[in-house]
Amino acid sequence: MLNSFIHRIITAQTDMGSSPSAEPFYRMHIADSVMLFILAISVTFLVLVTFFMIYFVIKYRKERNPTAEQIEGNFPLEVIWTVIPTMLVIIMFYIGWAGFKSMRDAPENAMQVKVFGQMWTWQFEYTNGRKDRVLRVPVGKPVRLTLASRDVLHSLYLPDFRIKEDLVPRMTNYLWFAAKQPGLYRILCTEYCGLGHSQMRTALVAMTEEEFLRWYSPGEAGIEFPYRGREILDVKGCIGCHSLDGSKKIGPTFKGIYDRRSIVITSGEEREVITDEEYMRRSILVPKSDIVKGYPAVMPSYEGLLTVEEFKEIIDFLKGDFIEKPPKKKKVKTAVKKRTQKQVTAFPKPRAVKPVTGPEQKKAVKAVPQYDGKRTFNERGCQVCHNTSNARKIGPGLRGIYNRKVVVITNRKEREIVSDEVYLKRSILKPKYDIVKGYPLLMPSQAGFISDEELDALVEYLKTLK
Amino acid sequence: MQTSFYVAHGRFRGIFSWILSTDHKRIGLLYLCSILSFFIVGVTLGLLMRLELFAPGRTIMDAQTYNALFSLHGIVMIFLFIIPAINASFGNFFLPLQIGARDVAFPRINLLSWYFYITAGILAISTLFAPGGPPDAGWTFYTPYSIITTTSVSLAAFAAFVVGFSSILTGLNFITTIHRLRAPGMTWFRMPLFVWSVYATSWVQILATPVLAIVMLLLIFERMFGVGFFDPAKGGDPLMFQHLFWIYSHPAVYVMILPAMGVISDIIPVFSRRTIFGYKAIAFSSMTIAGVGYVVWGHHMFASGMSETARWLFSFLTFIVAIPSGIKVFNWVATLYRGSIILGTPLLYSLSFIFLFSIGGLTGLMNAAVATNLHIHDTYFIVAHFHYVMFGGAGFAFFAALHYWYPKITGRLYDETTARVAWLIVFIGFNVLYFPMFILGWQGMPRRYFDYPLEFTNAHMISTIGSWILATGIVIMFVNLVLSAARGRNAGNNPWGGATLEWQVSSPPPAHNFEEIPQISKGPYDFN
Repeated sequence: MLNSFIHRIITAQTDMGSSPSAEPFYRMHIADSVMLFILAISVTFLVLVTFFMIYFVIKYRKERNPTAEQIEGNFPLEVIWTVIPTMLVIIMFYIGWAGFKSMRDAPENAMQVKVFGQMWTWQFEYTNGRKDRVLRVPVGKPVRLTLASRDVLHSLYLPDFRIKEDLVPRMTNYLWFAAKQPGLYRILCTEYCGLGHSQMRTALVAMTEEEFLRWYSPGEAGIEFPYRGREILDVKGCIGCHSLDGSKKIGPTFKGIYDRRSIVITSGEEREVITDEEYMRRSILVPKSDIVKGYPAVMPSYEGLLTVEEFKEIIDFLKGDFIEKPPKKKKVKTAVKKRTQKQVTAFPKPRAVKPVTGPEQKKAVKAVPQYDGKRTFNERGCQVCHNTSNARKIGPGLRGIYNRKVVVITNRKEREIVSDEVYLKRSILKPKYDIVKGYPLLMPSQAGFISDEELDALVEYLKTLK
Repeated sequence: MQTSFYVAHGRFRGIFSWILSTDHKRIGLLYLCSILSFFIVGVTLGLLMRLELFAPGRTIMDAQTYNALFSLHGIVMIFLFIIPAINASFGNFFLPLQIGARDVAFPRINLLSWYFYITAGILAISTLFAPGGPPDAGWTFYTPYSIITTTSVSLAAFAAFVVGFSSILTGLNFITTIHRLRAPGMTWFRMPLFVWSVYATSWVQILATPVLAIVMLLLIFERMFGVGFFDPAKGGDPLMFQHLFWIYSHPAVYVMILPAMGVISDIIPVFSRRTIFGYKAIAFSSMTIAGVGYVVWGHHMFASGMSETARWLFSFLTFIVAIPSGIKVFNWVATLYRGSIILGTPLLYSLSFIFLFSIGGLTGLMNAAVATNLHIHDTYFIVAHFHYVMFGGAGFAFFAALHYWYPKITGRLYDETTARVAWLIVFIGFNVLYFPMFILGWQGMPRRYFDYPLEFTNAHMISTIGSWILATGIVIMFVNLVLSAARGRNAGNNPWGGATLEWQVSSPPPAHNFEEIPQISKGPYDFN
């Protein structure tokens, strides 16, 4: 009986027929059911211990029981409360272990994705050479992630999938999972890795098979699928306070936000504004300057937290008519339960579905470049520490970096140099050699991770930042 | 009445009668005062962290400051507060009294160990002002980050290295004292359970702490000379650091909790007026915990990429170490049965110890199961778990001990009503502060995050409010204890009616403890 019970706990996840969409993942069941099992035992013990403790204190308080009875112990009782917990912990151990085993062994047909962690960004590399900072996977397909670090320890954590594993330098760890439902899920770093640790977050985008293939297929490798506005809103946490469907949350909804009249409070006085691009820019960077009437002034400023590109993506997205969207929504919706609807609506549509506007046109006419410096810049996570403007981030701003004079510290001595091509390449490959004065010695070396072509393209791109 | 040890100042006067004293009671008080000072530092750092986490994004400090704060909070609270909290202060003061000795076996080494401790404390605090800024690598100093960071990690690691010697010497001293200086008739099974727990702790200290010393030295060498012990590019192994670190730091958890368990085992019989239930079971379970506790360190590394063999082995052993702790809890509750219970403040803290420690211990089972560990590892669930064990457990026992032995140390009684009010506030504040962290962790909130996704805001706010409640309670408790030292009623020799030896001498105890070494003929909890 016990055996079959254990078996049921462990194999609950394979029992998909009975609950087609109750949970979005294959393996959510295992950790949760192991947890429930241990929790049930724990709560029972805690309640018993606490109950007897309080009961005895009331029943045998001095006023009611003036003389204590001297009981030195009871051997059978000691045996009972040694043996029963021993059996229980062995069962709990076994369930925990067996559950882990079934979470551990990846199916052979799993899709392989290489994951690189570096302070403080992620890079996902597919077998066809595609690279991205967001992990995109087709729904329903097992994915095996091989994990490697380029500098210090990191840990890839998928809270919705109940798994994590460390990224250790020069060691290859792995994880596998399969997403059952399309949607956006968090990826967090859970091994402390320094200054930007809490910003080392990205998203897992589970797409339908066809959408994934459209993105993945080599023919379109030149088309950038960057972080779309919708994903940025999610990764940066905007969606926490602003809904997409018109409902009121902590802040006003994003639905139809562009170019409408809105009453705001500016330094205590009401006024009417048109929510144009300039207004949105101000709201994101200096949110306290205009507060929409009826909402609290709680939004933090995103200054320094968004790159120029990300910022443009968001504005484009908000401008766009993102709510009334594609027919595909319905198709997916029929397959899922109510609980996951929100995720499905929130699912980012690859831009290709949208009518081609501004930026795409440009990209479409552009010949597919073999090595695109800007893409490398994003893929390598350079923007995590460097603005493309003048503004200081963790590292120096990069506008006009080429051929300017810089004061650096080499071997503890200050010297002034011109940041020519040689200097730029050295800074990328051997960042610790010259440290720009006033900045920390933190940048990880890209040597061995970046191809010569990519390096050239990256330097060419840096030259264009003016 | 004999001259109390406060009056008998020995060879020196003024401050020197304390810092050059070899009297175990004076050294115990030196420890107590310095431990309390570091506790206040640690609490302040914790409060600042909680304030920062009140809302997402930057609240009162930048990310670097926050990272330094959580590192220092850990270093101060673990190495300077909770490890020596009960063992070095109350252990020093009461161990010789409880076994009928005039002092510890090596009084000068005892003083030396305090000097090691206070030097380490000063070193640790000085990192705040050191070039490079305070350490930001966490109290765990995980490599490679701890090697590449330019903050004063070496200094902090050196502090941990130095405090280790204090721990080793104290352990050595106590073991020798217990073996050699028990009063005639004080057989092993007539020793108070506090002594048993200090004995078990001491073995852990002398056997495990050298490993910490080695690993901290290796880390310092690595940082200074780039030797490559833990740098994979030079053939080193970052996982090796974790193994070595936890070979010490997991047993250290038992250095923190075992004396706490000893205190509880002493208090419950006294306030129930009856002998302890299952004396031998409690004594042996202390030794079992100390033994098995050595071989469970790997459960800190389930997500590190360690082999699957290591994962199941450490998971299994971790489950096993839960059993002796359970046995203790059952025996403590059974000791209340048919007692004649006075619900004094020490008992209130002891009962809340049992409740909070049970929560900490039972959530430990969830961490021990590999399947669930992978989800909650390095999240707030862990933060909640170890604060329930360390603070709800060892911390509450420290408060219990503080109230229980207060009359013996000061010769006065604290104000009972104020003490109970403070207990209630501390208990409520503690749970408001730490319980939401279990939920946060299960929802996926990672540890050591300066900033967090918005969905976690509410629980963080509640938690921060809890920190204010807790701090208020602690302030009331301390103010009460300080004021009562001056104004409190005279305690008499034995206000609680305890049966152990320390209650048979005057309060405060005389300089040489016992005029005549007592002849022991009955057990420590014999209230007949």
